[in-house]
Amino acid sequence: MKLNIIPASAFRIFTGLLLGSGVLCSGFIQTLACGGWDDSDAYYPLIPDEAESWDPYAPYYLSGYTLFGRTDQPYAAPKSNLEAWSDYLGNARTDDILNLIFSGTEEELLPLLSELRNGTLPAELTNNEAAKWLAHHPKSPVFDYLSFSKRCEKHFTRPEPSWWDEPVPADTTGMLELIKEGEKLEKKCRDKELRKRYRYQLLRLHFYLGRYDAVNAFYLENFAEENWNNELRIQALNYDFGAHFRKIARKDSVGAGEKAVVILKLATLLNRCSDCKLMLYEDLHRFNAADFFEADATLKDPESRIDVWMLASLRSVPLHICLDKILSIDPNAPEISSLLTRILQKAQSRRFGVYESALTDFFADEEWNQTNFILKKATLNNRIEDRGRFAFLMAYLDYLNGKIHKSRMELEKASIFGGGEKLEYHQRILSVLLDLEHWNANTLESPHLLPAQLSEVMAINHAPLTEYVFRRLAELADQNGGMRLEEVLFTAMYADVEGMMDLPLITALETSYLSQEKSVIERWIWSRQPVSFSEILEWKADALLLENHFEEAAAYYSRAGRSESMITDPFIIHIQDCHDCDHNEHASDYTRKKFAEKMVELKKQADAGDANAAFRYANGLYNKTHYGNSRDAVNMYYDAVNASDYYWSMEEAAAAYRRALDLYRNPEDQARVTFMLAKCEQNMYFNEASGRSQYAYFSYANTDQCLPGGNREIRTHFEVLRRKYRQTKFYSEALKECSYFEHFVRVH
Amino acid sequence: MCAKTGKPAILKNWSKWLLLLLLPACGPKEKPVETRAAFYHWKTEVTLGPADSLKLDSLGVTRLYTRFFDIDQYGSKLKPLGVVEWTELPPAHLEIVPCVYITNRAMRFIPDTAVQSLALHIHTKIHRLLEAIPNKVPEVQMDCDWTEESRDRYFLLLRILGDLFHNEGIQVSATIRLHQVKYRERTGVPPTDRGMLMYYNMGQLDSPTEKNSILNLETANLYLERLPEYPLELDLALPLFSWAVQFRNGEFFRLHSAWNRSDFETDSLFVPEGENTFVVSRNALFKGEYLLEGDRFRIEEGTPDLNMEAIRKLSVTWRTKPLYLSLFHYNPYEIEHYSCKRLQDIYRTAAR
Repeated sequence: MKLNIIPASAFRIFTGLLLGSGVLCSGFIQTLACGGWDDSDAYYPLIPDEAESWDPYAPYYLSGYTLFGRTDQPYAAPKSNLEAWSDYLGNARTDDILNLIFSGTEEELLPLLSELRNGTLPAELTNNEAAKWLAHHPKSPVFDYLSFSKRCEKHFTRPEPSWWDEPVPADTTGMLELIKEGEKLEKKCRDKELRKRYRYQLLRLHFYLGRYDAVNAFYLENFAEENWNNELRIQALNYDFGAHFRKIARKDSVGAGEKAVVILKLATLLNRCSDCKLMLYEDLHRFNAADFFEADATLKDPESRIDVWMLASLRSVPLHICLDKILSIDPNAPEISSLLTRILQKAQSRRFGVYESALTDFFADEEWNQTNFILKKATLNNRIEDRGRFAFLMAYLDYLNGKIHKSRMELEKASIFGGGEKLEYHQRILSVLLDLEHWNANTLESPHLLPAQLSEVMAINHAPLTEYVFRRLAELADQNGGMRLEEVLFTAMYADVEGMMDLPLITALETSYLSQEKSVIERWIWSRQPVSFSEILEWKADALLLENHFEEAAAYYSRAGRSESMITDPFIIHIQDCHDCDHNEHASDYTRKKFAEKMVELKKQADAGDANAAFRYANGLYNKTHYGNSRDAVNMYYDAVNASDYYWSMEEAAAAYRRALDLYRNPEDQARVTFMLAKCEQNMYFNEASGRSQYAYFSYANTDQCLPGGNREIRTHFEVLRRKYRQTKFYSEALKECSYFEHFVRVH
Repeated sequence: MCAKTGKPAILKNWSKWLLLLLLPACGPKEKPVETRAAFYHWKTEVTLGPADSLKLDSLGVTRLYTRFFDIDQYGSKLKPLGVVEWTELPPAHLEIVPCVYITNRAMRFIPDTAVQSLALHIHTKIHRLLEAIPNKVPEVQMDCDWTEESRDRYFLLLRILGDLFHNEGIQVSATIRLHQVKYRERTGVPPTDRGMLMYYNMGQLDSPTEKNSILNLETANLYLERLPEYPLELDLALPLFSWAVQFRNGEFFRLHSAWNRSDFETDSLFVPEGENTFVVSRNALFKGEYLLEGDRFRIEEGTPDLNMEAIRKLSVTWRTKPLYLSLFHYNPYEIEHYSCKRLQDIYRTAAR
């Protein structure tokens, strides 16, 4: 594998990556995606954070095509080198070209070229389209070029470096000989494309010989016109920049004019070379703020001056200074859009606490004040065609800065300027955000105003705004503490509320849905159907099941017409719980509804004196808790379920086991039930002593050390089992299977 | 196996052996350890001219701890970075201690199985770089802010380097940070011949309330209690550098290592605020940087006075006196800024 040596910034990529990605992230494409949304954020980022969605909405987006947004038309990128080769070699497949020309070494390619030049297609290349083309064109001048360029390659590349070796000195003699040869071949060649390629190789040879003046001159003479449709043209520009860069890096003092040239080259490269950006950003460290001021002073051409300030804005000079400079050069420069976007992002970063740590890219007070001043100046500048966006940005910055009244005033001014559909859309969003700042708990009681405002939110149809508004309303509804129906309703407008609700709240939701006397807000929300009635019925059935109201649960499941299926048989029980084993080995066709119905049936049978039914009923109660095999009778991941005592409590299961114990007459059965009572007893201890920690369930080893009373206090049913049922077969089984029990019997 | 006959050699030459045994008893009393003067050279390019040589001589410096290269993770490999370049050969009479800084990230990244190979690379690289200079090399120093996670691999590296260099009569030392002294049970004690206690960079650089993160004796006190128990013999490195820490809007913004107190004291752009802080009075360019009104700069320094105070406090604590006191680092500005006498005083305070 070979590694190309990249000019100018060859091995600074490593250190550049961190900062480079930082700036590209914050100031280039991803913008808010860098920060993301946090639940605790109390303010709404105007531009949506999904990269794919914000573009259509954003009034000030950076062009996706160039760094500085000079044009929204795609930059006419030249053909890739492989495409250019494909065109040349009769549309050969690019993979074939890669295999033939690029992958092999000099020693491999040169003999192949000789064979192809003789019209022979080597056996291993019979399917290679590039080779076939060459074999059919033995007189093509490309043979000479390929041979030459392959011999150049070793001077520009080196084996994947063993970093620990000392660098191999350049083969100056070899390169000088190749320059002579290349110059002759170039003169002799009549093929335009190949002549350009020869010149490109000569440029590289000069570069790696350290002849930087020659590189610059050669570039100017051969590539500056940019008329070669090949990406190597951009690489030539990179070499030209690299040569300039290295020249100034060598000097102790560099004139402003000289730096201006390099700064402009860098700007051009940033716009042209998509592969170079990270490395080039690192090169920016070479220039400080003063360099950009000096470079600007030496330049006359407005576009060049704007390029300088755009580049300065990336690292050295505050954004508002660059904005001011560019406005003074060309108040309608397209680059202003990207600067305004970055100002906006930066302001949001400060407001929402989303910083790019690598850049400490936040808005200082002074920047904030100065930016406002410059924006204000812009709104008064008649030469600016779209003053509306400056006015709007002022309003938005005021909003971000917490100056709500001022923001409203600025927004009204902004609307006078107009500015097109997109800007009006954003004005509507900001207007809602400003309204929201005045809302409080009383607003919820407002019968008419709030629905009108919410209708506007829905009409804007902007998902992040919708979520933000309803999130805020839910917070207001929650101000009195404790979850209320309003909070659920508002939350339901943007999120799944099922897991939030306990039985009384779900009942309130059901009542609200069915009520003939809904409040204005209720009517507004229900008309938008955030949840369906059958969902409410199912949620209620789930909540009833959780609280062991089996008969009602079954009825509600019937009304809902749906019910979740369960993984395993909720009535089987073992000495040692193994939920995964049950799930794998005892698949069931139980649904929650069927489970509820079965529990009703078993309860009836138990009430009639059926000991087995009583035992199975107790197993059902045990298994639906946290400790059983059928937690999926409820959804343990829901907050409301996890917080419920019914999910953890062993009391009802234990009572049911005691009843089964009373009904059984057979000592074997009694022993089994006693053991289950011991398990309930242990789980009760875990519930009480270790904060319902599941970890605790598995962490107690067979030891007395961490259990009270040397194990005896929480093992009363082990004691009963030992005392009364020692002769049973179950006793032996339990002793064998349950190490806790074995330990108890052995030690006590 | 052949058996030898006759008296054992020791009995044959008993008079010589007796003399040898008596010699120490007859000689002068053992001299107390004298702390010798050293400097760190931490720049990539070594350009020590005759003037530097004179300066170092006048300070009595006999040893230069010289950064040879850093090692960091680069993709899936470890790579030497910033390899020393001998623009001018260092004065020949100075001992050179090659120093290699390896990032903790690199030590965490490298698999156990690659440590041997890394040690060989370091060993070879140091020797190659030494080929250019004639100086005596008594020691090689490894610098890593290792953690519990990287400790085992780093210590293995040190052991292997010890094996390699001991064969050549070269000692291996490791830098020790204050937290590694305080929490030595956790961080372990490196298996080296000596340690170099780095008595600087001990505070919170990015905290606006920090007074001097370079050398804060109050902070240092928190770590000193356990110094006497540290089982490795320690040399001492003290700071002789300064920098300016820039805060914008109350948050750390940038570190300017080449800016110093006099830059701020002599420019009306800055308004002093307390002893070490300067506030920017207007938006302006300064030393090429664009400063905003309200930016704050905290000047942090490792001054001779502070260093001497540190030595005095340390001297009641250390178990054995350091063999070397090395100032970090050799920087023409600092050297010119302080009189030769004040710098000598630092070394003398340690030598007392």
